Amino acid sequence: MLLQLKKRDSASTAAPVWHPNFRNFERLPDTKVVRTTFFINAASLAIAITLAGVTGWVEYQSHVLVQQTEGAQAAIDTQKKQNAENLRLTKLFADEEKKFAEATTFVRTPITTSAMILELGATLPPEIQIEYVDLRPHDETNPSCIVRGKAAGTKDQASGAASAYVETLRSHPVFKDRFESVNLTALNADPRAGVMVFEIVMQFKTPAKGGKKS
Amino acid sequence: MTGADLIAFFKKQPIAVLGGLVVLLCVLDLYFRADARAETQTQFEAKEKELQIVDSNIRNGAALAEQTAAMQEAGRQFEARLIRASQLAVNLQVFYRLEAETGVKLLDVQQSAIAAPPRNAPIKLYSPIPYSVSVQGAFDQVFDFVRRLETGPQFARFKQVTFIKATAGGENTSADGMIVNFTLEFLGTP
Repeated sequence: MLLQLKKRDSASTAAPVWHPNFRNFERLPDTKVVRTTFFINAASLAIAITLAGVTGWVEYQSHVLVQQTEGAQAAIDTQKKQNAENLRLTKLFADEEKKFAEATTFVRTPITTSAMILELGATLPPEIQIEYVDLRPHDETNPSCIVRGKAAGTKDQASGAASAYVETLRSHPVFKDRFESVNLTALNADPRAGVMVFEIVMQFKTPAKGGKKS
Repeated sequence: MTGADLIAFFKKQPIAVLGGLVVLLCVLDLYFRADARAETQTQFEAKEKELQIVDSNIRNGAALAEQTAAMQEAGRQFEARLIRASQLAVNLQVFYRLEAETGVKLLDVQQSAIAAPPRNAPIKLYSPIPYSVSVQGAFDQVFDFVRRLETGPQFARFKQVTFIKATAGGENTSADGMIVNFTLEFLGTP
């Protein structure tokens, strides 16, 4: 019996009861606690107000920029005459400055001739005698200073003196900064004079591009 | 959707429709005026930069008139120190005067032609005017001669200097003891 009742229940749920639905949902009143229209209006208003605010702020900023641009232009116009005069004077100043810059570059040298001679004299030991100095500080291919002279004493003493003199030149503070190398390139006996004749080649440092020479 | 439908929808949702219109207008404004606003920003930045430069020019140019006048006066003095290559006799007087003042014997002095500037070299206002000079004298005299040239009113540059001790019986025999040959350049104009 129970089994038959259960069968009947399951049959009734499988086939829904049919009836005509004449309700017009669009004309029916919204019976929800908070109407859907409220949410639609609230959302649209929120979006509109936010976007209007953003747009207004952006436009306001743009307006402020226009005003500031006009203000800047007015300030420029006010100072235009003085500025033009200053520019004219600056050009005159720069033109004059170019002359001095060119002269400064022109006379710039690693070491002046008189300073070189004085320093060579100051470093000269008693047994050395200089007879020839060839100074070429501005030679583009080989800026150098060639020193020739005599070293007194026996061959042994003279060669030692010449060698020591080269070391003196190498370590001299003035020459050390200006010369890349100081080399003894010749040392020969002069039997007539009974001395050793020597030749020292001092090679100037190549100035770095744009670097200053003293 | 017909016009009647739209009117009906507007009547039903007036606030939402108005909100939508506002949103639409805002979006159109933000989109279509973006370039104009960017242009305004660029113009403002350019003007502001220009104003800063003008302000800086005015501020830094407070004593510019006096400084320029002083510079121009220095420039006139500078010009007076330049050598004119065309004035050969006047130029050689520099050496003759030094000869008289220092007591050296001027063996030779020659003004050479101005060398053409190297290609692609920057344009210079002035040219180096070369001289080949040979003097003889005691060490103190020739040294004084050289130093006076270095420190004299002319802008001088020694290209090559050769000091030779004159030896008895030798090629460069001299009672005074020293011969100096040098190539010198004065800064000047043709």
